[in-house]
Amino acid sequence: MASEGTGIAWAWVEHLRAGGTTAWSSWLAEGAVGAAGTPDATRVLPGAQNLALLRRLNLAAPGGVDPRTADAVLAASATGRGRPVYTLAGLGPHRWGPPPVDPDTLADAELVRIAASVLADRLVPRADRLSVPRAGRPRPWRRRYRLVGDPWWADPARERLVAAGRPPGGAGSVVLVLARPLDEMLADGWTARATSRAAVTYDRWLGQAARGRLPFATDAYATAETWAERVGRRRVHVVLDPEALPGLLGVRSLPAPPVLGADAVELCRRVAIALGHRVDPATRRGLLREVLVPRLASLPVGPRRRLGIPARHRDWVAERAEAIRAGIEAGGYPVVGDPAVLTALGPSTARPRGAGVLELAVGQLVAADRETQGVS
Amino acid sequence: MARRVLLHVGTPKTGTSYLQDVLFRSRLELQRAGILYPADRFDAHFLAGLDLMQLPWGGLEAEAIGAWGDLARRVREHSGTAIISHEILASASRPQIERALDSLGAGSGTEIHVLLSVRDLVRQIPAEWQENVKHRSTISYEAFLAQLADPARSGRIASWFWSVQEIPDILDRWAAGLPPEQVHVITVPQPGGPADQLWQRFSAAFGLDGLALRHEAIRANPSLGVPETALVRRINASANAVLEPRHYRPLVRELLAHQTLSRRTGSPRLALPPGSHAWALDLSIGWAEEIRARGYDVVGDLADLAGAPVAVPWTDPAHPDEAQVADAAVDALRAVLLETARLREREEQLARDLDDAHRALERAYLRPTYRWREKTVRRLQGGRLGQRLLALYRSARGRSSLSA
Repeated sequence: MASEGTGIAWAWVEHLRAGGTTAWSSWLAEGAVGAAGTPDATRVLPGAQNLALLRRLNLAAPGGVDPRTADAVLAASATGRGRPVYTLAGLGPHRWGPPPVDPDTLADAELVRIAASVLADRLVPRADRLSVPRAGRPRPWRRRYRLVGDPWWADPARERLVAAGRPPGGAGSVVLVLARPLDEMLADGWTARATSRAAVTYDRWLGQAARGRLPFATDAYATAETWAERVGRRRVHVVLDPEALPGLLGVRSLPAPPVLGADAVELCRRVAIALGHRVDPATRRGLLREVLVPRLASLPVGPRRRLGIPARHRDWVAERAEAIRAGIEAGGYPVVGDPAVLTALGPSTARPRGAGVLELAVGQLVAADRETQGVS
Repeated sequence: MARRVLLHVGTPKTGTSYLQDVLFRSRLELQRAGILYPADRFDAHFLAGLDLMQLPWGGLEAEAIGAWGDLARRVREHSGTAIISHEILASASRPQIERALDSLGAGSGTEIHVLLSVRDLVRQIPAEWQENVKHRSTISYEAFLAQLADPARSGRIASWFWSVQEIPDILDRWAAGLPPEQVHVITVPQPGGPADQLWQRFSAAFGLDGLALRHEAIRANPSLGVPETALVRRINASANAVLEPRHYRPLVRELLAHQTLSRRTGSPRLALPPGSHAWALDLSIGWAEEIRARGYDVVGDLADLAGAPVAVPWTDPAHPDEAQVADAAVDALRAVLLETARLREREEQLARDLDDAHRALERAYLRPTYRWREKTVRRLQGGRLGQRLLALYRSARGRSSLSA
């Protein structure tokens, strides 16, 4: 049996669908004096986090978002692990299930779980327009190389080289280990993961690195040693200056990776999880790298909002960086650039913030909503 | 359109793995009786659940894309009774359940029955902690219990536990709008009864009596003793940071926990600490009263939810008998050694196979006709006319390979 409270809740849903921005607590107070909608026991109320996100979107988009966007937000499932639905507080006695909540008290991350789901649905239709990786006809005079190390730099550079007819490998190829300061390597490693597949949180990423081995691609010394075992030490070069790469590879230029803020990478991570339920891994990577990342990279980000190393991790990162530098120097590898780069940690201590991620997500959804309205 | 759908939605640790294994292996026998168990692989309904609820599961979700839609389509295309069973469905939200039921034809005349197998919290709580440990968790039993007792249920563990164990809430979500006679609660018998008593109850609830099914099930989710659970938790603490999830499942959960440590039956069993016993018992009894009041069809006896008395003596998994842990570790090492030897033999065999393939390839390359063909193709690729001739040849040959 639907209660009067449920009728008030449905009236609030309609209010939000029409672009309203009244908070639930205020609505509940008003509802008690006659704003109740029609109770309907056959329909299921959207989750409190869906409703809270819709209200945030209406606040960000003057006049509210398009009803199609509103319906998509109300129907979305929360991305990732955690409680799938929060129920609205104030709808009568509560006997079973988790405690109901006031949507205004929900953590930003709960709203982001919904936003990521809607953003993923918006990205999926773009799958047909993704570029098809092409390998150019191999140039016989190309320099034989392998490019490893910092994946956020090395991956796009390698893809460009392959497309230009310069695939890695071949007889006598030189292995170029692209190394950067360890704080940037850790941030880049996580960024590369978060923009291609389901990744753990940044805190967990750093925590795992602190407790165990560094992720392989972020440990330039381990990478160099592994390749030295395969091809011999003389053919492994450590490159500390990305700008030197084109010259070493015999090309005029190579793409620099996009610059993303800490919150933008976290949003990508959330969307990547949602995309994992919708498209195959290759398409997911394409949608993230070719569609979402360029959009987020076009937003300004201050140097202090780029991913950094939080204070509690700085000591061990500095120690490991010294160890990597010592290993590379002792290993006798040819080095391009100044080895001091390896231990020069940046000042940023930034990690993703829930409020910042939500703000970005809301901005992306409002922009997509405006596109929808412009098209229709 | 299926006339009747039996949706078994939980709860975990109530014999569900055994039931699902019997159903999966007996698909043909069921089909002959007009019952569909729509699954091409053992975990098909688990994947469908992941898809329905958009749950990430260590990368497995990539295999789950569209799985619920496929499952629902097969159910709709069947004209008799269909069975869906997975305990992960217990955690679905109302909006997800509404979508699921719609996709199964609930609004188009299909009779939906919801089945829930249940066991008392006195047994479920330790079983769930153990299940967490077998899924990489390092949380202590004490911290686990504290999270469950927190009324806010704000932690991930508490949120998940109650979503798949709080019987009235699960039935509020799954059975809202269903007449009580279409909701079937199957109780797990207390220990000490006939070995097949639980199966008899499943069989009655699913309408399988009289069918000759394949009971030689190979899958089950066996439990561990206290020292064995303590050992797996220590392995997690040591290996989690360096062992990828895709290796954890076959090596730790399957090889060590299920195939090795669960066979050590002489060690003390995990139980609720005496201080938590009354709290868990009260909850279970309250749930039993609620089920009775709602008038659901009960298969078994709600008295089963009363749970066992306090375990005496109680063994704290935080302080296990170290000699027993060491014994368990020796068994685990033996299993890992045997598995490593098996994989080494496999690796050697693969190396031999690869070597044979390389030699065969080299012999093919050395043939004069191959070298002549290779030279011709290279020469033709150098000019436009040659490229056209090659394209014409490949088109006539009937395949698009560019290799020759």
